[in-house]
Amino acid sequence: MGWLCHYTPVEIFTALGYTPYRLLGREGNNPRAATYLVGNLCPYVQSCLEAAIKQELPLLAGVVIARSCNAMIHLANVWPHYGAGGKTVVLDVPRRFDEDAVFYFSQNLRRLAAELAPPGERQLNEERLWAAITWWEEQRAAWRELLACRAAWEDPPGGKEIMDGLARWQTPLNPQEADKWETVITRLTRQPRVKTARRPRLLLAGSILPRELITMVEECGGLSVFEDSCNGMRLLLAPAARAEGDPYLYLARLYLGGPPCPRMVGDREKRRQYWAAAVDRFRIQGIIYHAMKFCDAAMYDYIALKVFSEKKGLPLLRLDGDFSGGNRGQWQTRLEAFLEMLGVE
Amino acid sequence: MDIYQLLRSHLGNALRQRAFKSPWTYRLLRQAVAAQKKHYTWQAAHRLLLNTIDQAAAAFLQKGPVVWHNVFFPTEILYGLGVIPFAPEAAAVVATGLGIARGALRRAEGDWVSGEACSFHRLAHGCDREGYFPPPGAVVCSSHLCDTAPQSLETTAAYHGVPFYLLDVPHRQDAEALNYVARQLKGITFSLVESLRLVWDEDRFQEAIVNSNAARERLLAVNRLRQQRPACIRGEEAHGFIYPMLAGFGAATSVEVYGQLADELDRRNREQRRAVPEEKARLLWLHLRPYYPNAIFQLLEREAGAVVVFEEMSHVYWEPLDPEKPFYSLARKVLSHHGLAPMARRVEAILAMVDAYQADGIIHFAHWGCRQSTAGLRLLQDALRERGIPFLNLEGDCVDQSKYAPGATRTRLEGFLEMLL
Ligand code: SF4
Ligand code: SF4
Repeated sequence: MGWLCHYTPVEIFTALGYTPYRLLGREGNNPRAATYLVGNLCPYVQSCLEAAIKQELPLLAGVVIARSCNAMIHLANVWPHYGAGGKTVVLDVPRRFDEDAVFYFSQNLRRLAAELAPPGERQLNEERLWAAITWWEEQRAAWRELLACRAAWEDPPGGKEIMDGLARWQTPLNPQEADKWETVITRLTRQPRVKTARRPRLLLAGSILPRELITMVEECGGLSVFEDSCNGMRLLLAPAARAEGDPYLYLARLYLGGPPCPRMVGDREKRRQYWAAAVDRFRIQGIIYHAMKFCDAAMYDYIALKVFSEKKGLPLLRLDGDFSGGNRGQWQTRLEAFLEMLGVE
Repeated sequence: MDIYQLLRSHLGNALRQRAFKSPWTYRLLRQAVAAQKKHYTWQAAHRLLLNTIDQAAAAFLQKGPVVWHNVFFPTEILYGLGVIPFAPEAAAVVATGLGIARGALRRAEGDWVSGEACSFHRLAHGCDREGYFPPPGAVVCSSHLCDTAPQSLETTAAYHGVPFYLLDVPHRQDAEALNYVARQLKGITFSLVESLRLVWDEDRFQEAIVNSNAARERLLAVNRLRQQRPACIRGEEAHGFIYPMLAGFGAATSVEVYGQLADELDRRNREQRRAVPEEKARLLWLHLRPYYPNAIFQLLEREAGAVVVFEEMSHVYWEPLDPEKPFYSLARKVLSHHGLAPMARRVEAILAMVDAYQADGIIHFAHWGCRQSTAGLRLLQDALRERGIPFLNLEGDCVDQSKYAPGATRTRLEGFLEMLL
């Protein structure tokens, strides 16, 4: 079962027997998607549609599209017509985090479970859902532990390695593959570290971070120790929310109460606090913001981050990207100059 | 004289921010506009202008708490609370007319507001930071339809250090969504009372709901009159009446304006006074229009006789409000917007407008940066093709004049008219 936005509770898929498969887009241009959507719309969303049109996705039972931003709303509109086959289920995700929003989201999740349930199975068994919640929480906790070790270690595993691991973790092709993950995560944690020259510790932020950016940052001598993105830290949510008797309420609180993404516009103060905690704990020396082209949330998120970094006296570099994998030329010089300023020779 | 010329002549060529804060400006402006009454083709437009000047005066002179809102937020709440509503997107239109857009857009760019963002909000940002706008006491914003507005308005609230209240609007229209929105509306209302230290006045709140219904009734009457053939108001003229739709529901003045417009339309219909000498085609206009001087309507309506008989923004999409249940019915109003939920709903609404107004063709003005309006067009185009309705997607920018290409626009319009006439 395909999914896109990190506010999609995959626990429900698992409990219903689906293997959650995240659509992470593709490299290259998206000429066909652009004929169904417009050119100045989020390239990540376009690339997911392009992948479907070009049949580059594995066979999916369906796709759950969270209407988390305007681009996703439009994707949900065109997907049943031009996207991959299978069912298209949409999910409204609140943009605020308070009791009303949690309750409303929990109602949506209950409905999502009913809509995804195979024919004949009207209600998802709550025990199965709790089991799925536990399974996912264990996995996330293992990842969080691995990622947190970067706060203390001088030579932690690089961002690229971790992001590649996370990408594979989000795209298993069957349940067996998904099950193997715990061992993989543990292995990554225990891997012997190779001592390298001192590299500036960086916070990378944005909506969804493209692989090529992290690769390039590290090739140029930087060290990504915190990825504030919906395919990075935000994906791992936060340790268990308040105890709840109802699994849907639990999930609603878990997801809405996680690290806020740029779309959570009513929750910007929490986002500032999140950055502040990351900067202190991970001993951040510089910030790189990846501004996804045509992402309205990212545009203004960057402005908030700029104000934040100025107050903290932290250097900040903004790189605009179109998610096509073809940004190297534009980024390289600016990235090198930025890292040089941070002491990379 | 055009209102902007008038304003400029009163404010001086180099528009000073200070002038906006002087009571003299509004007094002089009001007098000048009042004296020109008979030069106005539509008395309703004259009335609307006077009301707008009064409202601007109240905001700029800070005669009470000013609450910024986006154009989709239900303003009944603000009128019901007795605060002064201020819509930065609408004010950006005035800034365009006054010719201060270029400088303000430059300021926004300097503040890192990306050129990819909607220019209404870029311009509003620039005007605010340059001191042209009245500072807010609080900011409210609804999340439906547009992603830029909540982001931009939250940034402004943080800049001014005032509370920001988000109305989170889902896409479903079921009981759960209705409850969720209604509870938020109530919460926002009473948070405003508290943070702005307002006195809650039940009667005033009720009055705003009653006004909203009365304005709706009159707007429906206007719309019915616009369905008649031939049209007796040009689209260019009618477009000026969108303002109350975006910022005036709940105000008594909007009831007056729509009432007067309905009377005038009725009279002209009876007198068989036509919008153009010979109506050759009827058009439906989607989204907004450019607000700087341009030749689009001149070419369509006066030169070619293709009258814009209706604009999507004037569509009454909601049921009357229930004064007994103000928050529920406002929630229902918000959730009824045809731009919410699957695109099929907007397509259906547009097709119904085509039928009701007997439109021969449709023009969508694709305002750069407005993803909400443009991204779903493919599905609309498919539906229109099926019904054989000619469609033109005219790309441009509503407020950033530097994006206007007169030659290319004319060529596209002429091509479309050739197909139509
Ligand atoms: S990158 Fe921005 S526009 Fe794209 S899906 Fe994410 S939030 Fe939406
Ligand atoms: S034009 Fe579009 S993007 Fe701009 S404020 Fe209006 S709805 Fe939002």
